[in-house]
Amino acid sequence: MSGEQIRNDIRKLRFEHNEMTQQELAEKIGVTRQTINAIEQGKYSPSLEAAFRIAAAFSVPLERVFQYHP
Amino acid sequence: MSFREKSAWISLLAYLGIYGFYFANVGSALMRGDADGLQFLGLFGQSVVLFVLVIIIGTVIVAVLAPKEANAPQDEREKLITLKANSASGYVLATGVVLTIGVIFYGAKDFLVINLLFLSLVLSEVYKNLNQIVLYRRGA
Repeated sequence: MSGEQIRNDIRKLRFEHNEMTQQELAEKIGVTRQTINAIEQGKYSPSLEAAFRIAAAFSVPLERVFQYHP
Repeated sequence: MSFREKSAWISLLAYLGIYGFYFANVGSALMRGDADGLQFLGLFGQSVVLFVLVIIIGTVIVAVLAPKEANAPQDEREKLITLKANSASGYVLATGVVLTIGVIFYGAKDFLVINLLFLSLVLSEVYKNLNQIVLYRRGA
């Protein structure tokens, strides 16, 4: 799954939320730390459900986390 | 490295090491022309038992080191990796079976047929493990 067109600000959002670790975010979302790392690096595009969960974990709208660049 | 990637490595190394040894023996016996099914039954049984033991012990060790991860169900990326790897390995198994059927028409003996089928299974599993490892390394 290519993540080239979908960029994200997860790393920045983690930093803004008390320097939340990938492991802490992974536990909130219900995925592994490696999956958060893959999403963060744009190597894996998450499902819509996981994307909404990530946004909810930061209490921000979805487009604040993910941006689509066609 | 995640628990499931480690499990894939254990499986890959066990397949290559244990069944590699088995097929090296079978191959050299076939080359010499003195391949006998009964002669290899013992080696086959020992290989299967050793393989199961290595997988169980290896997985238990990895699970003890990361119990939380080991007990967690696969997440969506891991499920995708499993599906992709299974799909790819299916083609290897199917190719092996079709080639073996072709060999049967040329009058291959039971010993060769059984081992070609078993080799197809082992190669498909090796290919699956390799795919899993590559996909885990790449992200998905």
